[in-house]
Formats: sequence, C-alpha cells, structure tokens
Amino acid sequence: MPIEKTAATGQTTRPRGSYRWRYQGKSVGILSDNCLDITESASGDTRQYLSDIGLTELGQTVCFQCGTCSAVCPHDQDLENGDKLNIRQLIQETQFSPTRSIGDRRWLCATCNACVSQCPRDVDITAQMSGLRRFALESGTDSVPHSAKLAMTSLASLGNPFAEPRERRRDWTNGHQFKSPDSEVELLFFPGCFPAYDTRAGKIALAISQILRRVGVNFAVLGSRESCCGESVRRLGNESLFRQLAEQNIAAFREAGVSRVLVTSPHCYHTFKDEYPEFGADFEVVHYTTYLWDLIRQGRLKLRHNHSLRVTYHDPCYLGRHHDIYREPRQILESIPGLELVEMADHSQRSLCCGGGGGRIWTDLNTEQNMPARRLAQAVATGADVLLTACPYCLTNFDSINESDGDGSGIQVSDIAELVLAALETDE
Amino acid sequence: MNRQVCIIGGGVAGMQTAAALDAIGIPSLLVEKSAALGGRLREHHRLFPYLDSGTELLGRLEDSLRRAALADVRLDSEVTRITGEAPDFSVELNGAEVVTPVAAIVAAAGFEPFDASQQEEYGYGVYRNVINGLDLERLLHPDGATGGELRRPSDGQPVRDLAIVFCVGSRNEKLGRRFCSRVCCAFSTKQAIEIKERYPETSVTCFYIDIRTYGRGFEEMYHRAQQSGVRYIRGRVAECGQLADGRITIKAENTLLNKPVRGSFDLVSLSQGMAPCRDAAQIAEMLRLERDESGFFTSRAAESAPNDSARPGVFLAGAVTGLKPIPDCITDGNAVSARIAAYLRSLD
Repeated sequence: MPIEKTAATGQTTRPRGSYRWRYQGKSVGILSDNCLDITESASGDTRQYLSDIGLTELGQTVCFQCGTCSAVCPHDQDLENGDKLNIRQLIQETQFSPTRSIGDRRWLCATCNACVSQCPRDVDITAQMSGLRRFALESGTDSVPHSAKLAMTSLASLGNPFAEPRERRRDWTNGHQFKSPDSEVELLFFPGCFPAYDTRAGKIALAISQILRRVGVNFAVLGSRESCCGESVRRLGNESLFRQLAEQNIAAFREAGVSRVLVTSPHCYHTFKDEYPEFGADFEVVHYTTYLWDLIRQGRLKLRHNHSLRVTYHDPCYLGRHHDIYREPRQILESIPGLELVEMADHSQRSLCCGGGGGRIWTDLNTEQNMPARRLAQAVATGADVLLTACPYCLTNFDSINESDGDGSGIQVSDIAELVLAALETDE
Repeated sequence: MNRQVCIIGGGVAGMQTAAALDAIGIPSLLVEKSAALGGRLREHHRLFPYLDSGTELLGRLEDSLRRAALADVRLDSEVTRITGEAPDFSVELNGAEVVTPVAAIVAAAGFEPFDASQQEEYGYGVYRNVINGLDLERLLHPDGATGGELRRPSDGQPVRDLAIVFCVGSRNEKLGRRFCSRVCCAFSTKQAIEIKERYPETSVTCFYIDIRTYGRGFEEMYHRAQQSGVRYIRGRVAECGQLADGRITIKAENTLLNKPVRGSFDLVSLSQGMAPCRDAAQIAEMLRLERDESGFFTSRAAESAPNDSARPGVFLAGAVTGLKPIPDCITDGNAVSARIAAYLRSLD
C-alpha cells in the first residue's frame, strides 16, 4: 500500500517533531509535536502560516468529541474491518498539532461532507482536511500517496491527471465537430478530465453534447485549451498547482469571451463556483442536471420515449451535500415516461459517498476501502435495473467495481445524461 | 407592605412565590394561562434525583396555595398589557379586566420542551417507536395510556431494549441552540433507573456526549443507574432508522472505544432539551426586559442579583433565567419573595 511508504519516509529522516520550511521568503517551523499546543512553541511567522492555510481558522478547537462525524463517516461504515480513519480522533490530535501522529490517515478523507452536515459544533472538517494536507506538503512532514503524486506531476505539465497529451482532450467527441467559442455562443461546455480522456466517462460528455445539439443550444468547447479544474488538487493540499490550473482556465475562458460554463462534473462545479472567484473569475457556472431540468421545464427538451425501467439515483457528494442540488436530478428522472425511481437506504442528505472525492479518485484507496462496493450493494438492494449518478467520479468508481466484482448482481451503472439522451423524442 | 404583586406563570416557581409572599403578608395575583396550576410539573410522575412523587409535590404546592388567603389565583388568564411604572403598574388580564395598582411584577413564565421533530435525523414524529422524554414519562405514569406499563407505541408489545439519546436539541449550533439544558441528563438517568428497577430484564442504553451531574444527588443517581445495570455509551447518536418490524436502528461512535456502534432497539427515547417558554418574547416586550442570545431573561447582575431584572419593581423566578431543577425553582420563589419584600419596604 503506497501510503505506508510515504508515511515512513516522512518520519524517519528528522528528529521527532522538529520541522522547518520556507513560507513567503521566511523560515517557519515547528520545534516539537508533543507540546500541549502547537502555537506555544511556534514563532509568530509560523502562527501566521497556520492561520493562512486555514488550520487555526476552521473551528476544530471547538470540537467537543461527540463522535457524530465518525458515526456518519463513510469510513466507519465498515464494521467488519474497523475504521481506518477515525475523524473524531484525528480532530482531537490536530487540536494540538497538525503533525502529531496523523501520518497517512489525513489522505483517506473523501471530503464527502457527511460529517460537516451534521456536526453540532459546526466544525468545517472537510476544509480542515485540505489544510492538514497542505501543511503536510509544504512542511515536508508527509507526502501525498504515490498514485496521487503521479497525477499531480502530469497535471503540472499537461493539465490532465493521466499523462495524456493535450491534443487528446477532444477524444470524447468521437469524431463529432464542435465549434470553438465565439461571440454568438450561449455557453461553453466543459467536459472535465475523466469525460475527456476516459472511454467510459467520455460517453457522458458525448450524451450531454448530443442533447444540447438536439435542443438547438448554441454551445462551444475549448478542446486542448481546457485544463483540469484543479478541484481534487486543492483537496489534496497542493495549493500552488491548484492556483496554476485555475489561472490557466480563467485566462482561457477570458480569452474565449466565455460568460457561462456548463459542467459535467460536480467537482468542476464546486471549484468554478466557490473557489475560482478568489482569482478573479466572473463567469456563471451551471451543472448539467440543473441545465437539463430548466430545458425540460421550458418545454425545449421533451422526453417522450418510454422506458420501463426501475432506477435508483446516487447523489454525488459535491452536487448534494456541498451544493444542495437534490431535486433537479430527480425531477429529470420523474419526467421520463415509464421510469420508476426507487431510493436507496441512504439517499439525499444522507447519501453514502462513492469514495472518489478529496483526490482519492487518483489513488488506489478507493477500491481498497470498499467504499464504492458498499454503495453498490445498497443500489442492488433496491432491486433497480440501473444505478444512475451525475458525476464522472461516481460513475468511474461504481463501474470499475461493478465489472471487477462479477457477482452477477446485474445492476447497470449509468449517468443521467445518457438516460436523457435515450429518452429524447425521435420524431422528425 | 400590603401592596399587590402580579406573578406571571403558575408553575412551580410562580406557585412558590405566591405562597412565600402570603407567608410574609404580601398579597399576590397569580396569573396562569392554562386551566390548572403546576405547569410542567404536571407531566412528571417521579422526580429526580430521589424518585419522589411529582403528584405529591404538586399536591403540597396546591395545598399551600389553598391556605394562602392573600394569593388570588387566576386560571385561564393571560397578562395582555402592562402600563405605568413601579410601584404603580396597571396589569390588563385577557384583554379586559385591569388590575391596578400593582407594585411589583414577577416573570415566572417557565420553559418549553424542544420539539424533537426539528432534529430530523432522529425521525421523531415519523417512526412510531421514537418518542421523547415526556412521552416516556407518560408511558411510566400509572394514569397514562398504558397504565404505567412500558410498551412499544407501534404494537403495544413489551419493550425488551430501550435507548435514550441525550442532548437532543441542546448544544447544537446547527439548530441555533448553543446552551446546555442542564436538567435532561438527570431527568433521563432517573427514567433509566425507574425502568431498570421495574423491568430488570429490559436493557437500557444511554448515548451521551458528557454526563452533567452538577446538582445535589445527581452524581449519586448516576452511580445508582450504573449499579442497576444501565449502560452508558459516550457518543452522540448521529441518526436513527426504522426496520420492517418497527425496531429503531441507531448509528453512533463509542468514542471511548474508538469503534462504530450500530444497534437496534424496541424503543428510542429522545432526551429533549428545553428553551424559554413560547410567550417569553411577548412577556419580555410587555415588561421591557432584555433577553440573552438563547432567549432567557437577563438579570440585573447574574451573580449578585439573579432574581432582579434591570427594571425596578420587575423580578425574575424559575426557568426564565435559565433551565433549573425543581428545588432551584422553589428556592427562586423564596428568594424573589425576599427581594420583593425588601423592595416594598423601601417604598414605605
């Protein structure tokens, strides 16, 4: 398991608890990680650093150790094997020091926000995870899991996590021609990395583009000028790479004169909407589920083809809990004739994470920890024919485990966009 | 000294205030909006920490008021308007009758239990076998629907295992309820003992964040609960669910073992917190009094003058200044009477 190796190399070369690194031209450091409080031994510059990366601003100091976070954490649903990440315990440790015995566990969090949505003391645990990871990278106290490191190297030079050339970013179009942005376009369609390069996820982007074309939406794509949105990069704590990617995309959008961006992934949605404005972005962002529901409501998109299917819908964490988009995906499904929507044991606000958030999609943590398998089992238990989602990460995770399991459960994994395309009326 | 005092609220604090004023020769008008005296005490069969009878205490308070010739009790009555300044207030009742002059006013309006259905993750009002602490008290009351037998609301079957969830609607930023309701740990522990002592075969599990035993006899009661076999698990319940057979599932972490807890129970009781009574805002406005961020009335000086308001001639008793157990409400009634006596004397 790569993560153990990195934890070991982080700890063995220095005297215990003594770390120094450079921040904004100044030397900052932590003398000891077994003091009562990290700020006691830290210099003013170090305290400023901890505050700048959010670690002293995120409210973990007010945690009263009730265990609500660990009770709802998807890591803790595995009663057989016990929990590998006890989030409550980790917060208790970080109240004293961001280095203290946290080790590799900081990389496990999928930032699904189940804990944040129920914390009675309103601690922003998800944001704290990014702060802890950033601290580890910048102080050198720990490094990212090996597989994520490869993704980040590729992102830095090629703008995608797969070490693929920029030119192949149009692979998903499968020969279809889409225009580049001009002053006439209504919106820019931003497929995102997985749909752009991954054969399976590419079908989501293709489906969305086909729907837009059938409805007559005047849209464009950036093609090779598009870079990864950087959402998972920031969750992994690599702030400088995130900034680089954000600035690249903002410059590309600005050059293309884009004012409205349609995204496939809830992760792109999150960072474009909530984080890019920090760097001067001023475009509107819309997730394709809300966009399609608007088209249906306006009567521009008519779903008439009958589907006698029983389906269940998995709420992606970054669509649901992070942005409260629960209704629109379901409203789309309810407007497809013949479709029966059944809910899983955990749904909507309580949706169980697929395990792909927080940068985990680029690591082997996903499948090792059984998170997608547990969710898939809930989907199978509904008796549905199809498990639908609206996020390329979720789709990729479920699909990989669905194939590799081969247990003949017979559930099909698909994206809402694919189903909508199939249900589109085909008169004319 | 024989000027009249108006007491708003006929619960324990208000009743004791009227009785204590009578004992020192001060007439009072005790205004209670419901049809009976006793307030929230009426809902409690046995009292913590000694499991004394709530009915008996209520009887004693009622007796003392019956003997109080100077206490004018008005049931089904509400104060609707207050004009003038101390010691010449005019108090309007039910929008009609005006009582004047009133030399002093006591706010003893009490508290309201938290509506547990607001904490949706526990399913109160959705799952029939999720009840609240007062529902459980009624189940244990001989005059209740089950004749005092502990039975599942869904099917009337005996309860084999019960979970009590502490801190419901208390200590919760999400609900905007930051305060500790203070008495629920003791109230629920009392119920756990009652059940365990009456039904030794029934398992009782309490899920808590901290056990707060600040009052006299509370820690000993907690000890007695543990001795009688009540299990305490340190971990806040994150959510409840319902099984096909009506049993209630619980999701929590045992934070002392660092292990997830999953269990199912015949019955789950939510130890709901409390808040200032529903008409606290209206009463505060009539009396021109300040309240704190949680809605409790602010004393003139929290430490040295807890029963005085910032306004001359207006006094505070009972849960309006913060949630408190019954003996503290009795103490408040006595204390506020002494403060009023001193005030009235200063006028002479």
